[in-house]
Amino acid sequence: MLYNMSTPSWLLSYTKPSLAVVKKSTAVYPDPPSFNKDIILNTKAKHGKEIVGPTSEERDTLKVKKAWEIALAPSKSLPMNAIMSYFSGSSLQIFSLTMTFMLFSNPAKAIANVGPTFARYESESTFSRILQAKLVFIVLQLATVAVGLWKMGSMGVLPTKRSDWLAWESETPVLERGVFVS
Amino acid sequence: MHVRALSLFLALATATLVRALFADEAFVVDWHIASIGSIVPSRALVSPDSVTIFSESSVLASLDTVNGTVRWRHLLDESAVSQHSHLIRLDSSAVLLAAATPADAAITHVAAWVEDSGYLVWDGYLSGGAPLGVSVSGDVYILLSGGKVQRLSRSTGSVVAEYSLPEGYSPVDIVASKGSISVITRKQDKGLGYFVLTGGGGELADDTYVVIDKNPAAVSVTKAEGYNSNIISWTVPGESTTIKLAGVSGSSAQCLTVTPEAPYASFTLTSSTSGVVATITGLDGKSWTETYIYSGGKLTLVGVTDPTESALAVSAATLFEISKTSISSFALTTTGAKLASHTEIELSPSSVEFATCGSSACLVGFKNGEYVLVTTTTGVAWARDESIADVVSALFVDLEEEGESSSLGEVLFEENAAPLQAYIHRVKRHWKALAGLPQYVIGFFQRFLSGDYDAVPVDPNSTVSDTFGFRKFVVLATTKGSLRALDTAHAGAFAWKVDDVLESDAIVGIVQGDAKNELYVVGAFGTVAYVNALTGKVMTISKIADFGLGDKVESVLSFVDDGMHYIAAWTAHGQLHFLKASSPATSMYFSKVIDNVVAGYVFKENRLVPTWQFTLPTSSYRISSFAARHPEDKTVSLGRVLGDRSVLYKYLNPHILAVAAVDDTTKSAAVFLIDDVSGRLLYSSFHENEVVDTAVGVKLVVGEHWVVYSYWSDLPARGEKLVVLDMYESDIKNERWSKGQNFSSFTETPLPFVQGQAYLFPEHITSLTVSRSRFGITNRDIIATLDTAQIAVLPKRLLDARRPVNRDPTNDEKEEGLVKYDALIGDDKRFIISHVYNVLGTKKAICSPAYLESTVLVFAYGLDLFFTRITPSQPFDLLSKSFNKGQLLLTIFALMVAVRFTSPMVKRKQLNIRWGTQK
Repeated sequence: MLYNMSTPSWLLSYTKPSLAVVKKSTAVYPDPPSFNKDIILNTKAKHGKEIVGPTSEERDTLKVKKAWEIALAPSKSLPMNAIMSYFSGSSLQIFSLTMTFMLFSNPAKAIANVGPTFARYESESTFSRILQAKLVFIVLQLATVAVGLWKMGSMGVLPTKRSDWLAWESETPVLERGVFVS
Repeated sequence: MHVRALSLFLALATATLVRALFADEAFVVDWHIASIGSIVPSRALVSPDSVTIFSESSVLASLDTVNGTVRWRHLLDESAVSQHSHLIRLDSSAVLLAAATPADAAITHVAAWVEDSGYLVWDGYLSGGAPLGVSVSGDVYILLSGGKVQRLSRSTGSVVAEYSLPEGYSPVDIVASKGSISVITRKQDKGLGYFVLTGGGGELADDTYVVIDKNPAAVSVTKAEGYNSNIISWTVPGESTTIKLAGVSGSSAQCLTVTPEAPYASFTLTSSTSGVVATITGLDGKSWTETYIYSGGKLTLVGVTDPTESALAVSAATLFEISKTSISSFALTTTGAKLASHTEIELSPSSVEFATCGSSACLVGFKNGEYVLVTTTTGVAWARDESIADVVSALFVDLEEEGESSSLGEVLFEENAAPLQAYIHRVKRHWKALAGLPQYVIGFFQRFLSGDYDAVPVDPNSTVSDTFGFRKFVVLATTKGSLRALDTAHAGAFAWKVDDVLESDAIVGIVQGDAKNELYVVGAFGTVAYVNALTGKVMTISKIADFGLGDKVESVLSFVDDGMHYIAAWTAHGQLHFLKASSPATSMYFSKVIDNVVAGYVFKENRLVPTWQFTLPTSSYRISSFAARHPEDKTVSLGRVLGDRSVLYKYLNPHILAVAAVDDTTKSAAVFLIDDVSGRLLYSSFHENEVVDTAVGVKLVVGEHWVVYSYWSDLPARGEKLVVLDMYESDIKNERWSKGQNFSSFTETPLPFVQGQAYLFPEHITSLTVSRSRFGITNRDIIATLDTAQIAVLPKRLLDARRPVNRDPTNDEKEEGLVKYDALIGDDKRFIISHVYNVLGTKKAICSPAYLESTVLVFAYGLDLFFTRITPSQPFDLLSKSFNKGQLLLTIFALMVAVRFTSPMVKRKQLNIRWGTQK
């Protein structure tokens, strides 16, 4: 006897492929209590008029509007970033360093995720308008990066001055060899 | 690389302008050797309690007779010329020193010093010439070269009485005894004679003139103030077998003649209770004594000792016989027989130069500059090496790195041998090295636990460097022709000594060869010795080929050209002899200060051709000093970064020669910066109307793009003036004309833009040196030896010509590290690196980098020797001793335990999440 009564059902289902096929449930379950199917299905009848969904143009307009809102969102935080950057000074401290790092990392992340961010509003008909919003979004994120760059410049970590390249300058070769006899 | 540079920059930026030596480092990292200088027998007083000396280095010192340490010493401003200085005993507790002053030889300084403490009892200045003779009998009688006798009170030093010799008599010496004072004189027509002076209360008068030898040619007059009578002795040319002597106590001369057993080369006389003992050195170098008894107006020879090669000295009827290995003392009976008492001792291998004896002890001087006090009871009480007080040249010698000496050759063998052989060799080598493993492990843990790299001391007998390169040898070449190597890690103990390295040639210079353990020692007459710097072994000794007759080596050069290292000797005849390999193929430019001219030469096709001469503006100027940048000084950054991050480019001409000249008549000084290839004058500065101390002159040091010099002057404020000249390519920021070009001294390149500032330093500076680190990243310190017997370091950042004057620095200037200009550098004791040491008479300091970039070894010499190490930018690459290693270990251990416990927990949790049994 391979399978007796004590054999657990999971073992059977693993070892006997035929038994492993789970039958699709055909049982009809009753609705939950107090669920009134009629109210859901016959709203029209109840309110007396048909609920008409928005038209596809309206929907597109709405989507574009929403997309622009998202695209312009960084412009609101831009002045704050600029003011904070200005007031946190040019010294190399953990606070200003973190802030500067955020000024670069956040836009980078946002630009990388620009597709998913606008995916909800995208459709074939709104493609060109959403693209504009996307571009504005990217430009505004780049503006945040620019604030970050300005911040780094004010902290003196951008190699923009002559002294930053001093270490790479080579010595002037000397043609003559002189020896002083002391 | 950039990150490292940035962190280094941060480390350097935090370095403060003023730093101090930490108390726990004093006496640990530094050492000091007190010297007194060469001893002359005529100015050494040996007594049972002390040995009092006025040395050739003008040091009056008293040495302990038991251990030879310096009880006290004074570096005096007096001439130490033998004829012009006399040290005699004043009484049982004081000594008297009479010496001509160096500024004016016609003025004599007389001073009485307490023998035990070195305190001054009294002193005074006498005009009338240098002292020719000093004698004490109740009062002090001094005969001056101007023919004047001064009688000074023994207790106060005040002049009691005076006497002047009559015209025509030239003074020779003075002998005072209880009864009379005799002034020995010489006169052309009367020969040798003496005046007997009388008169106690205030006046001295010549009563009698006694002629002792009519021959005016009498030479080498010496006096012997003895135990019973005072005698003088002299010789007459042509009568070289006799010694003439006379007692000069009475009003009638007793002229006696002693005829030694054999012709003599030199002699000394000692008067004894009954006569005279003559110590005679014969022409063959052997010495003997002859004892004479005075009776019936004649000296009768009673005893002669056997000639011996030992040095002889007689004191208080005791004859000391000093040979290379033993000292014997003999009681001399009245008949001149020797009663032996013999002490075997070990003496220096050098030959004896002199022996000065007291009643029981002898101070023996050796040719190599060593001195030994021997007593009849204990043998050698102590030995001092005073040759290190007269140093010609000094240099640091790097030691081998650990294991380097054995493995380097073997590694080379393995690289070149056949693979199988090389493999077997390597296995064998590693097997042998395994024997040292336990010791290495023990050492590692010792060091790890204590955090102190000195915890495992380096064996003093080894020639291996320590971990950080703090241990080096300082090799000194002395005026006595010997070499001394001092171990910097063991308080300056002698690592090795070599005497007469050049076989009686005087050393001119020592330079290092290609390998760090090669040393070339060059003598004035062209002798070249090649010495192993680690062991002191003289490998070869030779003469320079085709060395000109009567020529003299003036300086020794060591330079690198095209990767080839050359060593050359420059002679007085203007010859250049290359001592190693061949002469350079390309043309080279040489420059030298000859008298008051700087002369330039080009060396082309094995010939030295004069090219240019730099003469001083007026003939009243004379060159007092000169300096060029050290050839191993490194430049890391080509420019100076300003506060707004722009760059001022440094003027990095490697041919800068700074020459300082002084004018003795107008008391002014001038400094010229010359290009030593083309002779072009780059900059000059004059200090007129300042009353410069021209006798001392100007001290100079040249750094990478700057020159610092100092001089003492009375106006406008009395003190040492420290002047800094910083040279830049241009005064315009970011402008670099030398970019993309080749620098040639012969093209009309723009002159440097020179910024200068002067500072006031309260002490006399005797020399200036600049510190030199391994890679040149560390800030520079200027090391100044002071005549207050101290060594000071001044940060170059403090001596900065860009410091803002009369206003506070702006933010940009603060960023640059500039502080407001203050003319007075001040007497800040934190500048003094020699702390409590009394580093007397240092004339020069040299530097050498340690393996650590932060640390520079400093050695000062002159009279005393002083060694320390400095960290101009703080020890940024060294953990501080207070670093809590235990806490660090504990933290790591605690973290390990925590990980041990938490890691299974995390593992379990993650597994559960995978199985979905836990969210």
